[in-house]
Amino acid sequence: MTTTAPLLDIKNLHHAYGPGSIAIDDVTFSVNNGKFTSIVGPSGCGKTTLMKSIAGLLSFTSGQVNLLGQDVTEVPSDLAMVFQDYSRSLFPWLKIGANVELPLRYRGLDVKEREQRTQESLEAVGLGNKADKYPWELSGGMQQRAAIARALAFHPKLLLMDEPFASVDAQTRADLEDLVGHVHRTLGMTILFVTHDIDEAVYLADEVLVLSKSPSRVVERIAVDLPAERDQVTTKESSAFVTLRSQVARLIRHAPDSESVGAANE
Amino acid sequence: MASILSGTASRAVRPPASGAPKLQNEFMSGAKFVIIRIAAPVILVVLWQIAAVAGDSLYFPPPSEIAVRMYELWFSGPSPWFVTPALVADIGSSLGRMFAGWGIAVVLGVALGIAIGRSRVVSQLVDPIVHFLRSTPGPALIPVFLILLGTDNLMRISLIAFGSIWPVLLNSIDGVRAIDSTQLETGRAFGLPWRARIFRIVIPAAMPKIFAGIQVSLAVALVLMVISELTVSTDGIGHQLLTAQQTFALTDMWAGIALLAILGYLLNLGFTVIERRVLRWYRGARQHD
Repeated sequence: MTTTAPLLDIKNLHHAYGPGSIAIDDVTFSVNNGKFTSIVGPSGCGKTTLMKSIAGLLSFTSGQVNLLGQDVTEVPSDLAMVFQDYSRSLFPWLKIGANVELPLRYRGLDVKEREQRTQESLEAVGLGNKADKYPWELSGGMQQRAAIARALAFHPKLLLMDEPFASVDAQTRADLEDLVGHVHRTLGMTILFVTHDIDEAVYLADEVLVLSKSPSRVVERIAVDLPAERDQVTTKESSAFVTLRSQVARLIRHAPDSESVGAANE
Repeated sequence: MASILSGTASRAVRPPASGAPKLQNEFMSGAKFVIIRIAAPVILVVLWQIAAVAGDSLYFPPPSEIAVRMYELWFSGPSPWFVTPALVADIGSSLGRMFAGWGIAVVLGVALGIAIGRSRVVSQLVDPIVHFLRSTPGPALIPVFLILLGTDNLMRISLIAFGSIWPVLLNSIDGVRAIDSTQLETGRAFGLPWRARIFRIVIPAAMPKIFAGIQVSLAVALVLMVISELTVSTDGIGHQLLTAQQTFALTDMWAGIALLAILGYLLNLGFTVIERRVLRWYRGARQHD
């Protein structure tokens, strides 16, 4: 394996929940180390199924998911996940610090390292003084920050985020987007980000992957050649951003079903 | 009560004009609460005393007499604890059995409940069997247990365990089945080994339900403890009760009943205190929903 090999490589992924209910028809794409990739598509297009397949939470019907040169057949050890539903993903019986620290116990770290990483990542998301609070004592935005901190402390090679900001208010959402963008740039973390929000997809990513309606296929891969430093106001008013978001919007609006994509590919 | 008082005291430092009547109300309601809770049993005992004295029946000694007898039997021992050897013998052997049986019921009930609840197929398979066994009244099995296990502690502990396992088992199955799939997926996605997923996710998540089951089973265990001691026994509170009744020492019998009532109350109280500590997060989370 050479250094230029992609971090994540997905070939002909296909998954059916049962006869006739195909969630993913045929998905092939790869993600290079350090890249931020957004996945958008019409609602119910199998984005969550795709995420679960990569995370090893679901044994897909056929195809290949390869992470760091290893075929994913069970949960990979270098992967962390931020779920949409932070209130159900954080454990209410553990305080914030303990929530962040729990997964580290099974990574062969000693107490000191675990405490240090926990504190570091809580500070990185602006929750340095909330380690002793229970999740339910914090606002929704803060809870999602805690979930992000838990993923950061894990030091994953690949971070999966499944519609992480779908259930927070607009201002919190903008703050959290900038937090994730900052984490991506400063830590060089590879992030795969599922969203149904086109602005968010373009604003954060190096590359946007547009999926078709279910059963999903990749409609288009769009490189986002915006400057690395992004700003909620100036980036979003730039003509390059506006062009990109229209391009993505058009693709989603006219998202073909998988047969016509298949025909186009052949 | 102390917390209510200190709470009002610290808040009284700031004197908002409109706050004064409210503070008084809070204090009154706190004091009222305690008075009412104490008043009802006190009135009841006084009425009982009056009725018993007026009735002057051999079978119903007045509570004052029962209290004196309880003191003589169990609480007139040497300082500093004042308990008599009889109390230690009776309560000690009884509680030993009860906790052994109940402990087995809790451990087995939770373990089986998790194993069953984790699998939809297994739980559907086992469900009718569990409900059938659960419906068998524990005391009805005493003859069987006597034949199989003899007349010693093994029989009593087994009976208590068998009878009190069902609430724990059923609630554990229920609690495990109701766990949010996101919580389990989080555990898997972050690479927690299965043992850690059981002890750090499944059990805590199901704990509110499990605790409710354990509390019911504690009451059942107490009942079965007494019943098991009413049959071929040599010690324990149940044995004391039976001996008193057979020797026509009716005040002793009533003293035994009163002792059991107090014991049951204290056990439940102790359990509630533990539950409040362990499930503090659950109360908090529900309030914030």
